[in-house]
Amino acid sequence: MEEAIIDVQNICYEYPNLRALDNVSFSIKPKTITALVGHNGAGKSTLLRCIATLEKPFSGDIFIDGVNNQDDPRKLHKKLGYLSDFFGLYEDLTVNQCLTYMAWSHDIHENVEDKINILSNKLNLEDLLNRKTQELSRGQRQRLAIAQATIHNPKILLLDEPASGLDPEARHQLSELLLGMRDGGMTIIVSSHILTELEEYSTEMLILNKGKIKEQVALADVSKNNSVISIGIDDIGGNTVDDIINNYKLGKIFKENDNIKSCNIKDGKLIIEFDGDQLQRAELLKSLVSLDIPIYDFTSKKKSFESIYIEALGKKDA
Amino acid sequence: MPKNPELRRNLWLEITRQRLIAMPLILGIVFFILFIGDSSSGKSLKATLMMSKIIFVVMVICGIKKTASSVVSEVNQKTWDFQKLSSISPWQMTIGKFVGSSLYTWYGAIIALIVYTLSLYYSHLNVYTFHNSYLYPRYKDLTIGAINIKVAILLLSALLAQTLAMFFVMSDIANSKDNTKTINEYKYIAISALIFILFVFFEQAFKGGYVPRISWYGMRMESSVFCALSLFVFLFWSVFGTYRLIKKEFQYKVTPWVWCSFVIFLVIYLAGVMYKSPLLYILPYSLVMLIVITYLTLFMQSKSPIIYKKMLLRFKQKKYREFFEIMPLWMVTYIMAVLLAVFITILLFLPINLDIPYTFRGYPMPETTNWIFYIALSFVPILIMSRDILIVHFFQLSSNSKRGDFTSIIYLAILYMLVPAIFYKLKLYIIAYSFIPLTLVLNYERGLKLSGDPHALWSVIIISASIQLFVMYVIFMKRWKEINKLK
Repeated sequence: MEEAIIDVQNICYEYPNLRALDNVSFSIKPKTITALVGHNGAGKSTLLRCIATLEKPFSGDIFIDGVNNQDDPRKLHKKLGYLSDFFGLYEDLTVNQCLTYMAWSHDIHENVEDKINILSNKLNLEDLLNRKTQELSRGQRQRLAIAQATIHNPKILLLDEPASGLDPEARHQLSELLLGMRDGGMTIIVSSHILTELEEYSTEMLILNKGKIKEQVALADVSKNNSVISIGIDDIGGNTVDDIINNYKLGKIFKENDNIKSCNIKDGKLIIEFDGDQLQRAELLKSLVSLDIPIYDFTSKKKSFESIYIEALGKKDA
Repeated sequence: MPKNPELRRNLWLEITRQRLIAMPLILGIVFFILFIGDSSSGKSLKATLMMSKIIFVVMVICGIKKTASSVVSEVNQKTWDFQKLSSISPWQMTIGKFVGSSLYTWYGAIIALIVYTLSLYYSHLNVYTFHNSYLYPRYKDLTIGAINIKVAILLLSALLAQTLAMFFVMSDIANSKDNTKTINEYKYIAISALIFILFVFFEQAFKGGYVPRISWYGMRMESSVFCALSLFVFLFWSVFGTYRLIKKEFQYKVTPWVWCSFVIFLVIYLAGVMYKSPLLYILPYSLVMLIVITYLTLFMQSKSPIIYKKMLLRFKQKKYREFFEIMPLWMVTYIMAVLLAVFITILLFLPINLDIPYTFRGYPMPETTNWIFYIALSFVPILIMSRDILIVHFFQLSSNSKRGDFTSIIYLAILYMLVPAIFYKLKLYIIAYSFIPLTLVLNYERGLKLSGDPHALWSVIIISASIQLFVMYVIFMKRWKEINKLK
């Protein structure tokens, strides 16, 4: 089993009268993109700042690449890149100067120009190198901030709400950029409210609710097996789920098929939450057709990020 | 080019060819116009001296502003996180910010200071030429040594003020754990500029010749020399203090040993001025100084309950190094004060001749009352300070903790003024004094008359201070338990 690159153990963080992080524990494998989701005030930013060593937790330990991040935080900074939700740039410097300064700040003094050229090409900043940062658009500033956070090629990148304020095109570029970074060996944690956008690139989802980890989901497994099947039946009319089950004698199928997790009616269609692979979905369709049900539509969709999130929030704490 | 990234970034912003040429050009024109005036009467020299000093002062104040703003802008413009996550060392950051931000203003200040120094040398060398001029009475006693001291005071006070501005700003950043807070540097610029201007006035007043002497542990030296030496030492401490604050901000492990060293230095330094033989006399002064420093740090530092909860947890976990890393500076000084009070008391009980006169403020005291008097003098201030610390923290733990300091100052004022005044009016004098026991040091005769017996007087005051502390402790603990009920 691959060793975790980030291992968070029983982290607690307190503000006066409020526990922002309550006994949070999880681990993250290398070369993954983890979506950190949760409502406002769930503790996402605090958690990222604790991992980035910018805040000291009240209690608990965080291990980065096997090293406790409180033992020698400065040494770990070489392995970490962090971008806050409210970041700033040096407005009087040019893009090139900003990147040069950041390279020097990370003790990089050789081949700085080459590094900047490679990075600026990757982030579409090559035409902006001589522009002052105050002249950049929101998307351009975001790309520059990411370039600054990654100039030292960190192993771990922590991004707090990186897509806020970006237009759809810039968001798409960000997705591609993050996927490219992951392919290059980086482990990324992204906190965001925009679940649909996280869906494009995340491999894991970490759900935080009221300072506690609600669930950690490996999305590769979810997308493989969990799906929502929408079945269009000719005379569904105003029937209830029970009516449909009784009318078409579906009780036996629903009882025997362990892959069916739930069933309801939405927009005149039977919606089945199904936990099974392609073959098992085909079996289900076959058994429905064998009952002479007038099916005009059978659509299987990957379970959305939003439904996983809402489902997890609905679960009671262990 | 220096390897320091912060210094290089500031060089990009501060130094351009045009600016490098403009400064000496403009200043050169100003001084040239002044100097070509009427040289025989010394008028032009006087004008040059005045103008060069004004330019120096203005440049230094601009430098103070630039240094403070260079740190504050990082926090307010949200670039501080990048700095904290970089590999820049705390020394590089200290030098980069201090030198880099004010490089250009120092460029102008140094030109002005050179002109000022040369003008002073010129007036010294030609002092008899100006026998009938404005300058003669003013500079007739100004030797080369005195000129050097004057220039040293100006230079050192400018550097000290600039580092102090950076130190104050860094303290504010270190105390504000809310990373969304905007920091206002202007109050720190004003304080630092004021300190600098005070030294400028001192330098202005120093004209050589007879100068008042100062005695420091019996060593007599000219006040100007003492001032220059003190500035140099305090400059060292302020730079070192700023470095330590940056080090802490940059996530290094920082224990309060430098603070302890500074407090010990400060107490020894100030006690030297008050020194009287025997050496034991400086101990009560030292205690008072430690108490004053405790109060100052108490109001200057964050008093978030989280700090104390963290401390308690680290203590329970036996992580003593982390315990001391978190410990607020007021607490460090408070412990030092308590230790000194204990030391004074132990010293009094030792069978050695301490050569203490059995009088107090001229009133003879029976030998038997000496011990209770000294215990009271050592411990009552500690008890009252402990009470006040609990009061300040009690209001800090309230729902409106942002105004905690202000509210506690109001309540302390009531305790120190209104409550004793009421008891005084009610003719309950002993109770009135027990709220402000140290006033008895000034009103001992009255206290003695009221109580009739020094034994009774000091005993009542010790008991009263203990009761006040106990009551405050009970009230504080109630609120502490309430605040620990987490949402």
